[in-house]
Amino acid sequence: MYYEINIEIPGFEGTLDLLVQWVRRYEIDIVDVRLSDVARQVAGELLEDVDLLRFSPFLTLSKLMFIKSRTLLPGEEVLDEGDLEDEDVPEDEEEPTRVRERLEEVYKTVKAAGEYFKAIAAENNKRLRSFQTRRGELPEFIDEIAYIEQITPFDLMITMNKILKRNMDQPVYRVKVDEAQLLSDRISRVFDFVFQRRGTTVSFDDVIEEQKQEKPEVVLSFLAVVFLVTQGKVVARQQTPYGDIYLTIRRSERRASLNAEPE
Amino acid sequence: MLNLNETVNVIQGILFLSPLPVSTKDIAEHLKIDAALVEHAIIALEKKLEGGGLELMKVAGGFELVTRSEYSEHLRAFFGKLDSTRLSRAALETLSIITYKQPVTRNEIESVRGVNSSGVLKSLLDRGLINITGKSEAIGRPFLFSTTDDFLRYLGVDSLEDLPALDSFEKKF
Repeated sequence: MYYEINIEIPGFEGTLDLLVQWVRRYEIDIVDVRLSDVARQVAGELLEDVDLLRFSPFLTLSKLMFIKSRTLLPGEEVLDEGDLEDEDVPEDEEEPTRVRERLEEVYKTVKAAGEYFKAIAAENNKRLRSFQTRRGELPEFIDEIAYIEQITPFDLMITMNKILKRNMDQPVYRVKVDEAQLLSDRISRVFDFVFQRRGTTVSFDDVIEEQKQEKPEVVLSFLAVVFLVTQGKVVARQQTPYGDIYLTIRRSERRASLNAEPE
Repeated sequence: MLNLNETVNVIQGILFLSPLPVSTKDIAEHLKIDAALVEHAIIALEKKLEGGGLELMKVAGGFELVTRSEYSEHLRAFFGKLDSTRLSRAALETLSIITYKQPVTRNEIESVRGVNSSGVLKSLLDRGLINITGKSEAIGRPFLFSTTDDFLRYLGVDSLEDLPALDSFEKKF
């Protein structure tokens, strides 16, 4: 059984369903509808004859509440503690339309402030700073990022397989770093090898090939390269992950070594 | 010990090389000279730059050496496209709310703008124009957002006090 409840609020007199229809057709602005008044009238009507089956007006009322909640502020209102403690809340609360108008004013104000920011930022943008033209060398990882952007999931899968295969196939080699003499000899040998080929690019594979090294020796040579790179004596470049490592003597080092050479 | 003329030249060098505004306090500390001498030197440097292509600008609590705006067109013709921050209307609106209401929560921003602003806030955070300066005591303890020194640099102002009061924009619509 369907119950119709008559509502009487400023600007409207009729059934609750009609009110919902008018709101939906924008003939009444939901912002102007005081839902507390509507709810009070609905509750008053229902209290006269308590029947738990008469819930349909609440559903209708909930529609109105839903529409109003969507129309009003999207965010949750944050109240200060002072607001909650204030007992002198005026009986004649601010009309919803006024609240919306005030918000529109605030919005227009911040919009105007935003326009002002845009104007002064544009003026400021006419003043140039020296750092804007300093490009410098791009960090080397930029290339790697560009490379990564181009790869497909299939490439990733292949790479992962490679890594897994390496881990399974290759034993872990350990080099006793306390054998300082051994490492320092290797550092000197690798440096000399690269230095003698100054002006050309030497790959890490060339270093290994030339000295016909076994796997533990390769690790030692790699440590020597790492040492030379960290000491700034050699520059190492790698075009792609897992690609060849190319070694060149750092310019300053080349000059220093040439100066030290007997004429 | 540097004399005034040398101090002026050193400060000019510092400002030329620095990617960020430099405060008189920083200069005084690093050069181990009196702050009053630095201020004196700054005034002298401003006079020295008069009529030239560069000028001193007080930004975000420090000084920057910048080119004069009237030569912008020619300089851009020479250097081509230079890095600069361009913001959308939504970002500018959000920035103006934060500027005048800071520290402010996302909800408070959205209540004024009427739309979800999380994307804009993220973008402004990424650009360093705003940062999170705490949490509100309101339910859920939402983050509070404030503007940064980079924002002052973006506008080219020394401090927030240099901006017009929010009321002054009311009559503009």
